[in-house]
Amino acid sequence: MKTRCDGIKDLLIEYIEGELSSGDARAVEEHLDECENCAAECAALRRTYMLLRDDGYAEPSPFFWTRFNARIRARRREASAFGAGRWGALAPRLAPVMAAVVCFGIGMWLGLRPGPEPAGYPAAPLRVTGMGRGTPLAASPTAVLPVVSARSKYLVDSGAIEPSFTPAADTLRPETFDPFGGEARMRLATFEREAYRMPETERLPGEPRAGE
Amino acid sequence: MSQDVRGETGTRAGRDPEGLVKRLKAGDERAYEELVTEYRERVYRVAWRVLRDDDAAEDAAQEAFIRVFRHIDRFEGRSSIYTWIYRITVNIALNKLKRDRFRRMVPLGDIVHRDRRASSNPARLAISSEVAERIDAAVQTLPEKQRAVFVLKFYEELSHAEIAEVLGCSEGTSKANYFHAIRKMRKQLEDLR
Repeated sequence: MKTRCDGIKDLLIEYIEGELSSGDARAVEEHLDECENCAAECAALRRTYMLLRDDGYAEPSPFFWTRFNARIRARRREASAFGAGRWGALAPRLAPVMAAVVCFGIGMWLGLRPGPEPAGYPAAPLRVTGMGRGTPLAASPTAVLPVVSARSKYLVDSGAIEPSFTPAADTLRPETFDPFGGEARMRLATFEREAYRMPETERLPGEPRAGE
Repeated sequence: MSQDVRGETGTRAGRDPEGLVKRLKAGDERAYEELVTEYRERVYRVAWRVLRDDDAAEDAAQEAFIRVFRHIDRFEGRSSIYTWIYRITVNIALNKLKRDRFRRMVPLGDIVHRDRRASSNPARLAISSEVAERIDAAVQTLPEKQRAVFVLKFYEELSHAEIAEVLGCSEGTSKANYFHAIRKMRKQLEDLR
């Protein structure tokens, strides 16, 4: 349990620094008058404060400041020279490195880009009448297939991709949608490609996960 | 030149810090010189008291100004310019401390001895060595955050609200760190009379 002395000792630093309210300061003083232990602690703290004031820091000479300003000017010049001239001079040496980085990046992209949409995405309630991904148009002109997955629908709805084929309601109605139109097939293919190219790692906030 | 901790030194830069920032952003060359002249003593002092080493402090102070110049466009004026400069200086000094971890592996007495002999500041060499060396050693034992709070409060006389802004912590954290630091110093120096 905290004693009265503990409470006073907690206030001593603020008391010495004059940061206590006048009421608290008076209470501390009254306690110090009657408690030798706390008075000794307060005296030791005051002594520490006095010692710390002379901690070895010495104001540098005016010559130091002249040199200090000059060095900052030089460092600034150096920094801007690096930004312009030196960068230009370094560019030829860095070019092969940059080329290697670009090649590596392209390789990584080719290696890591997503393949077909992973299994597990539920079919969206939205369905296209007449065609399916990978389904020859002529083979199933009237079949109802889950062409638009939850993921591709989400990507379109959220504006993350700009498909050349938007499965708007009217185009999905069997009576207005011509499954045999070459243009429609091309646009749908583009849309699907874009939707599936979006890697899973670039999942958008709130986007449903596969299988959800 | 009279000077308080906020930087009002009576110079143009000290009287009009907002104007100074505007001129810096506009690329006014004279504004750079004014900024350095206005704040160099405080920046160097803080760096020295965190690092307790002349050369490291000079390097940290110069780096702080270079960083201020480089990033002045990012300064949005939500805090005062001196708070921002303090923040940059303290961060640089604390990073230097972290990088120089090996210093902590060397016996403290050796560090103090080496630093003092290596000091390029004659006035510093003349200061009572025993007390200063003991303070050096005591400050070296403070964890980084306590050290920063201690320097900013005890020597720079910033309020805990200002320190909280500089260090990105709460006022309560600043107070707690300060009290711990003072009590540690009191213990470490109690045998000095």
